[in-house]
Amino acid sequence: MNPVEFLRRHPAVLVLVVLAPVIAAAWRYLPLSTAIRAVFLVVAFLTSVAVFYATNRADGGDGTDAPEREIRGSDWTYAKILTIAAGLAICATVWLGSRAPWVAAFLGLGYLAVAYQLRRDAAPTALLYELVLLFAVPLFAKFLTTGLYFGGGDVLRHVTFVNRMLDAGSVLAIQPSAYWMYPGFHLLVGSFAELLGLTTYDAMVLTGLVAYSALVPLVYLTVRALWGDEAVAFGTVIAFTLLLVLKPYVLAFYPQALAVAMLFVGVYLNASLFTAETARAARRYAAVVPLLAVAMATTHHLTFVIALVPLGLLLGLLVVQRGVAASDFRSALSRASNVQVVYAFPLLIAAVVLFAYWLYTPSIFLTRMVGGLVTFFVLTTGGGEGGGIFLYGVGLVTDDVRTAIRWLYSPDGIYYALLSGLLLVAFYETVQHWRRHLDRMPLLATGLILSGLLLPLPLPVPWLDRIRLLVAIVAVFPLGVALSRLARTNPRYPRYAVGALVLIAAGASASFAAPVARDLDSLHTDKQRVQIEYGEREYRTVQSLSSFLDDHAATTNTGTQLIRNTFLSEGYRGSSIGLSPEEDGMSAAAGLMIVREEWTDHKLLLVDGSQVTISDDRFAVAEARRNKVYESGGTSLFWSDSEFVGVFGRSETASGNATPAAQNGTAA
Amino acid sequence: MSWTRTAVGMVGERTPVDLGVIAAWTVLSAAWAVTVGNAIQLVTAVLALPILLVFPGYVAVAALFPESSDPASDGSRGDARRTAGSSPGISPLERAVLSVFTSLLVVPLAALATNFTPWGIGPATILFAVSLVTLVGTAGATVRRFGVPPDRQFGWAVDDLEAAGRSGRNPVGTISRAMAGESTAATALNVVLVVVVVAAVGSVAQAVVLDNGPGYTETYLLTENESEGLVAAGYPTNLTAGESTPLIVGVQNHHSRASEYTIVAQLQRVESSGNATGASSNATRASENATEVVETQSVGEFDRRLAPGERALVDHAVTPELTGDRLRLTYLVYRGEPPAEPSAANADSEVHLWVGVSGNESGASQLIGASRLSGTNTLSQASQLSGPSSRACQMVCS
Repeated sequence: MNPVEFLRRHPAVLVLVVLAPVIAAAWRYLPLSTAIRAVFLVVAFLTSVAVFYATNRADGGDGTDAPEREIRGSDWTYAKILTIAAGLAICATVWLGSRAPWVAAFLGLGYLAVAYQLRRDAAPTALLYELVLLFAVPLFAKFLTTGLYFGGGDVLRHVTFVNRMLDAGSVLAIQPSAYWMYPGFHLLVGSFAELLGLTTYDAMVLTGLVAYSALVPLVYLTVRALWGDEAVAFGTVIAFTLLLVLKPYVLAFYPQALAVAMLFVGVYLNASLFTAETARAARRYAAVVPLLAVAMATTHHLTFVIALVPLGLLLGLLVVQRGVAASDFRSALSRASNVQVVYAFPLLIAAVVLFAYWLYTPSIFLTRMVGGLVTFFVLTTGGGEGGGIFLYGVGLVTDDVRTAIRWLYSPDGIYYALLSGLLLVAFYETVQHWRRHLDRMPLLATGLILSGLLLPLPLPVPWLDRIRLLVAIVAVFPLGVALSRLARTNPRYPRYAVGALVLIAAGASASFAAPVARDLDSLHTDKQRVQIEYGEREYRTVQSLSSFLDDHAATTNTGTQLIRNTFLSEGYRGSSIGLSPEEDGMSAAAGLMIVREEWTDHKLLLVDGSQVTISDDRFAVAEARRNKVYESGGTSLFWSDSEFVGVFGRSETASGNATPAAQNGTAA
Repeated sequence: MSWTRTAVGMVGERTPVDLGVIAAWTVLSAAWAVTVGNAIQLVTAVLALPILLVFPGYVAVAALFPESSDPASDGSRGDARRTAGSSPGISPLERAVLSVFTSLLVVPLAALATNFTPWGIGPATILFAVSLVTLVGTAGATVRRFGVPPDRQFGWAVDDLEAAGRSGRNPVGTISRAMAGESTAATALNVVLVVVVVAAVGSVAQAVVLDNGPGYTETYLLTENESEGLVAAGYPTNLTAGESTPLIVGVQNHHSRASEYTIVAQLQRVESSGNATGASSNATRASENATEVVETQSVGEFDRRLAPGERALVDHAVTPELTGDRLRLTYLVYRGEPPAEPSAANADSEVHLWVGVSGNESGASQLIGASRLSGTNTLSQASQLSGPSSRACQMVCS
């Protein structure tokens, strides 16, 4: 066996050669806690090797291409059982007020059933239905157990915009925000809220849940069109349900999340156009493109600019592929040659619509773009001052060895190890069966290259969450190829269980990792974190406070970004003044100052960009020693007839000695 | 002549039933919204949901793809890699998915159009715009479908339904046959499925609609200002012993049940065992800053019964007897009877003001009504002397 053939059959050797010095360097040069976290890469490698060889063909994994597998059948028994399990999980969640054990049990059962059916005859629609359940039920259970999930705060802003727009009956009411030029999201959510009689937040969650659940069969259809292979199609759908980066934005639905869903639709339409056999069929798909373009143009701007990065990479790889495998590429193109002119026209219209609209809004769009790029540059190069960090009564949290080890076996650590492992399996599969994937090689390579951004990074990257949302669109393809090996494995092959177990663990950890389940404290290692959701009661107390201030006060020190955004969404009409964190304590103008017991459980983001952490003791002392003229639940108002000085006492960390970037500079 | 032929006899046997149902549903929903509105919210929502989520996209896709899918397709898989000459129709799954996403594209654009009307964006205009788009789409889809040979048309026509009725291929017949052929285990599974789904829907409805989580009590202090009315400002900071100062304490019941509230007002002399500002440089030292109430004077006790959502504003006079530079005027709120020794720790809710109380030149006894917490000579006169005074009144507001 020559070396090339050996590497094709055992591509893990290639990874080992690269990974070994990287791990060695990490242990040598990185802090011990960071190096320990990097162990997830070792776990990923071992997992990938286990899955790769376990799902090799039963005939010994000789590297020959297995025939494409058709998944057929009409049995809905498993779908019914999973529906019952989902219903029981929902009932238990509602009745007992917690979701973790029931959802975990449902996910375990669900992914086991899916893995089992993948190697047997199953009704494709039943399997898709089961995957929709596996995607949606954990998120719906979270909706039921959290009052109001607002993620980074954008949700509250957009609730405000929708409410303002509906109250005034005009998109102009969204001003001064630039979203009055891009009101597609707000119009969609507003329509659901008004016609279904829902609150704006509930309408937001409903549209997010519907749109992203409907993406499950859409991804299937897309991959069916591109690969013509059901194993890859189902693998990709499973990968979609596993992608942690998408899940938080289903509940914290906001314009970019809708724009990303539209991009998925765009990918599907393009895939259908490319694979349409007749001009007549292509023309019909093409007719939807201008509609999509108009909707995209009026929904979000930044998404489509960031999308140029993966699109550019994809086009570049296509050019390279054309040079390397000219004959294969020509054959691929020839299949679509009879429809190119037809679909090029609506695509052209779409491009014109997008650019015409963006040129129509130059003052907003271009200013935002330039501003965003400057911010990106400044933050990336470390030139940004940012707000300071103030620690009243608590020490700076450092990433110690114990925390790092705990992270490895937390849902986050398990998820990232398995995600990395599956990406490696995708690489092995692509190398081993390169002929099978040749036509889609640029797409797979784009996904594999960019999917590195989905892994924990040791440095803060500006806009990473926004970028990751877009990376998800291409990352599902290599992950789907990796998971398709499950469907190709001989049904009687016992080592198949390895892949199934990995799938179950990945499915469960993806629903309990920190980005999607921060409310489940005991599962996560990052304790000093920004508040991203209100409990039901907590939200009502803040609403009560907003109403009280509206009735009895013209001005208040709202202080935190969260309270300011919440008050905006509640239609608070008074003036808001920020708090000023200082070394000797927080200060504020005379009058009323909002304080909340939740502050002791979270890192506060103040309006000026500062980060503040307050201990229970300091909070209790301040509460006892200041004038407290209002209380509802854990929300209070301090009052002073002179300027507030030294509230919460002296900071443990001087301003500017630590930056938010430094504090966040740990992996994950 | 069958009922279906009677109903649509004028428009022929190939009348598209699916498109007809959509048109009728849309018109009915609009009529319902105009006549009944949101009076019965659940019905309104049920009628509106498909109009937002399915119908606009469905008719658009029906207009684009009037043909049925290739019979070779099992109807569930996307048959994108169609062979040349096959039907340009799409599978039911593809049609369903496209319908949802096209609706999500159409609805905001239809709503946007209402922005440029004199009536602006609102429930009626959105419903009208989406309904209009749906009806126009329905007309277009009908025309397109009639352009396709009957045997290749997608959807259900009147004569299809008649044929299905004659052969027993209607939904009821299909379900009956399916159930008749099922094993006991399969039947049991179906029964469990229905029970669990009903239970889950009921639980969710209860959680979303009925249950607002645990309640809380809202408590606050206000002053009365001639120009602005009741305001959260201008609180007294200096009082004089024996002289009355007006203050308003508000309590609102945010629990799901009516509650008997007791407000215990006290003037407290407090000693601290640590740094008064909490400006400790060491976190652990902050805990030393505990406060201890060493002397207390009852200022008043007020009882109010409040229904859910109801609030009481208790306008009363504070007549201090204790003197000192820094005393704490505390209002402890309890649901039900207060404990023997009321304190912030055992209150449901608590607010307080720090005040300085200077002695009265008339030399009135400063200790009437005051008691040492540690002592046994608690004077019950306290509440009589400085409790709900003649000036006190109550306002109960919903």
